[in-house]
Amino acid sequence: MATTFDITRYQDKATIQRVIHSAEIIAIVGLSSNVLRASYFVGAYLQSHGYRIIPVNPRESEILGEKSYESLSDVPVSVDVVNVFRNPVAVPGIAEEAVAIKASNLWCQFTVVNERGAHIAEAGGLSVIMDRCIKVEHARYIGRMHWLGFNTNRITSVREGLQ
Amino acid sequence: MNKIDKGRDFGFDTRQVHAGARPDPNTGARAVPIFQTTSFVFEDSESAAAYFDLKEYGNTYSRIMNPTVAAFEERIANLEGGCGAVGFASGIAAQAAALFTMLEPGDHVVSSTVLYGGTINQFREHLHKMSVEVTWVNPDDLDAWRQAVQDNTKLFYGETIGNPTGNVLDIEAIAAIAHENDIPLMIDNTFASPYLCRPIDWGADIVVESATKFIGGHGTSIGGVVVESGKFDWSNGRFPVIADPSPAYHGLAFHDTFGMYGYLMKLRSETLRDLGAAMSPLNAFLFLQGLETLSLRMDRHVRNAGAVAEYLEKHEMVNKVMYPGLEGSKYYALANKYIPKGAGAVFAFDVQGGRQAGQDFISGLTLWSHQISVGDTKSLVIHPASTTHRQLNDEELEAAGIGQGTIRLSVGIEQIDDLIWDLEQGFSEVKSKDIDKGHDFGFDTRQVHAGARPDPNTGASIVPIFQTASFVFEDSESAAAYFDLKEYGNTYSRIMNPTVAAFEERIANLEGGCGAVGFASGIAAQAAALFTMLEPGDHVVSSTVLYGGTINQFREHLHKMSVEVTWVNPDDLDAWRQAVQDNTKLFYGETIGNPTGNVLDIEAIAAIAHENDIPLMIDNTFASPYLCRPIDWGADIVVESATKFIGGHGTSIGGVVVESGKFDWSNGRFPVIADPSPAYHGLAFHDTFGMYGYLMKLRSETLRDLGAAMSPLNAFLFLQGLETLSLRMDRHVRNAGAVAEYLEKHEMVNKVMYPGLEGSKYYALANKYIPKGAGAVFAFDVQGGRQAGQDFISGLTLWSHQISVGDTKSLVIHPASTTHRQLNDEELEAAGIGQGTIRLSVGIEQIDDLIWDLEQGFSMITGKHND
Repeated sequence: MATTFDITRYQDKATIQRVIHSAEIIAIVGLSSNVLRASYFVGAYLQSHGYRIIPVNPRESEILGEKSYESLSDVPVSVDVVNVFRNPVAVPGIAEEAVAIKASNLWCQFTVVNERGAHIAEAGGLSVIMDRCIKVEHARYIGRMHWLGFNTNRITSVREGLQ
Repeated sequence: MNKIDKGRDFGFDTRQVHAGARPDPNTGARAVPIFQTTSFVFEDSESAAAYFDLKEYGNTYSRIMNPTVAAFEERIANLEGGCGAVGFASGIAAQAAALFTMLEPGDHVVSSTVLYGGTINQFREHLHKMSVEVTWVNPDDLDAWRQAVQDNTKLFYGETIGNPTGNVLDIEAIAAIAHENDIPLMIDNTFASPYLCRPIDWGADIVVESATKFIGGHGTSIGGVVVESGKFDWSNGRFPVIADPSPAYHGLAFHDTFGMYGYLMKLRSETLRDLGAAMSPLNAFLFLQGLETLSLRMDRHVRNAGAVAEYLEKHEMVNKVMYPGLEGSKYYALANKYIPKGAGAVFAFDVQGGRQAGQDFISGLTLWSHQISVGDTKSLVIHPASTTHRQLNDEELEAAGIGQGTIRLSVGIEQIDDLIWDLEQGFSEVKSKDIDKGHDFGFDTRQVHAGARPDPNTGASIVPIFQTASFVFEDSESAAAYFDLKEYGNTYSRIMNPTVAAFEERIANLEGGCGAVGFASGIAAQAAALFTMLEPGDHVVSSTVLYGGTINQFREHLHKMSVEVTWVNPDDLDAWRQAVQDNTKLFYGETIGNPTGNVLDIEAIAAIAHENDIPLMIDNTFASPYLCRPIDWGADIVVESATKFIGGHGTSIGGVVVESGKFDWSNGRFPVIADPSPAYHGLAFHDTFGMYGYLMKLRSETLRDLGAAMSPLNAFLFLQGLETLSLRMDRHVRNAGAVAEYLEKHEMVNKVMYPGLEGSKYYALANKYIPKGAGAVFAFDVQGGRQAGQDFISGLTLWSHQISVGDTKSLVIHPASTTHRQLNDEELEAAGIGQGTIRLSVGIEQIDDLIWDLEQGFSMITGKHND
């Protein structure tokens, strides 16, 4: 029996913050070497904010100064976040690989929505975030999104660190 | 622990105060700083390059982005429910940029006919110049919108509430027609503001508005803003200008790369960059202050507008009232759907008798201001046929819905009976503006108007910021007259300044005094008030329950000038009486004591003072003249910090001294005021200036010699703050009462020191002296002592951990670990402060948000909290 897919379950604000605060190594599946593509913008941004990014793209050998791997299974270090810039139909396969390499979190970018993929990752013990941009969320909670007049939807009187 | 944002859905009233503003991470400043800088220094070449490539959010140049403007932009985006916003130099500039970002030569726009004249000019002249064609449709005719769509149509455009005839747009229906055709809908929401209507909720894609009007609210600054929903699909094939690669950024495709933020990124990084109509940081700062009271002002604006519309509808000299909130209006149903909180505050009516009657009507008014613009706290009026639309002939006027006798009103937030009294003047035969009618205006009218008059030289309706050190003399004779105090004349801004004077008159009026003198701070005001009347060897009787800064001042600086102080329990009338000595020159106390909330029995203490020919000085900071006017109860001098409720927004430091003008300084006790002054060739201030003698001496000697002058810019900000004093105070005390009741019932609270609670020993005095509400600053004791107090504060994310009080934002402090940390347990107890005492200054946010945050504080103590 088909049930409605509730995507908000994969957009939990506390999970998002936990991931961006704790992650160190982020594998970007579908990272492009084209400097004008959104994935490149995100990769460069994450790198400049101290995360180590690992490109996963079989058509490239090196992006943003990091060796590019053919698949997640080839990545030789443990991965905190699997960040996906692929067609939504590819998500279940990526999720299976993410479970296999014991990644902690699966983060699918804007419009990368796939219910089965989400379920696979969850069943494998990963936290799942879907239809959210990791750069925007970083900029919302830690970075400087509010310097350009974007609506961060944040209300706080806490004195936070320098941006 | 509070690093994780809980993602709570905050209410509108909380967001209008907080959204976009965060404590400055570097300095800790709570109010958004005014970043009056053209440019920003890069960290290094790599980050500079990343900013120019739009790869990182970074400040470069204030024509394109500025942190003060960004705080305003985010606040508006948040209130309108958009994904972001870009601020501009004016509403018209915002709209031009919104259009130029999405349109190309050969495009087509469908627009409502009922629009602000400035928009019509812009479309006719400047869309024409860029070869964009406009089809004008009757906004009420849905078929006309549908039939106007062409292959090259790129936009539907209309106003939430049409100017000036008040038609309400069926936004949802028109958005649906637009979206059927893959076209976005742009709405000018200026007349509604995001409090009355959020067009994005009804399907609009882009909202443009003038910030000059209700958003700024005080009529001080020009500005505009574009908000986008983030929901329109710019890649639908109709908008290559946004979806295709941009040559300006090496082929960057804005929609592809930035997704829902693409339109706004292009608007900022290309249109604003290239056309340059940037919002000024100072204006953005003023708009932020305005937004903090948006809902309070709008509620009052629409309540007043409804009452004025009903009054006019019944008036025998009125033909027609075009207010959509009237049951008879053809837009009544649409108004109930789209603007249910109130049908705006700008509308027109037709007076009988045509053009001459219209002009006569306006010439009879003395309170309503004859000027263009709308959405000001002050009520405004204009006669379109003889001013804004005078170039049109009768037929053109009729097409625009404007008759020869049409009057347009922008209803302000003054007291309603004063507004109607003035409209009666307009209808009546008597037209002599030269004679002041001596009408007794209500508090809500005086807080907006007292001390401020249109500038006689330029016509400016707002008191100018006279940021000048000195003033040029007409000639040597008048200069001499000023120095001899023989004529009122501006000399030097340390002693008097026209902006400060407007503030001084307004406060004197609201407190019921004969005059006032402004100072650099509340403490400076009080020091000057004391130094003017005291001499070495004098004696003062003071309440013990005072602001710590006052205690320091008395202990250190009265001592230095050899003035002795006797401290008395303020509740003990006998103690006041018995403390009087032959050399006693002053009784001193606070309306509401800091921080334990005891209410002073002003009338009784004034009586004891006067029996002994002694004046009573009251610090009225915690009450403000709206909650209590000590002079009405017998006080002779009122001092207060303008930093707190008077300014109201926590932006500026200032203070003021008000005198009743009723104390007899020639009673023998005060030779310092009554006797000839050597500084003015033997002038005796009380003798020469009578009731104004004390204030003349305060200004011409004490302020002149000690120099703690109020800044003109601060005075300007205090004037804006005072315009909403009663609105803010009503909300402050309502919230404070609710917080006090919540705390009183809380199992982890030992004691709540709020005089408005029935259990308070000051309840009866509060009902007598502060019946509108027992203030908004009070303390309570949390169980568990010092550690519990500190834990409580560390759990809060909405209440701001800082000193000061009387801000729109809610503030909290734990005295034992901060302001009073130098005291031992016994000294703390004497001051009424326990190890677990928390002091609150309750702001004007939504009450459930404030209580939600206090719950977070209590959870932190119990350790229930886990993130």
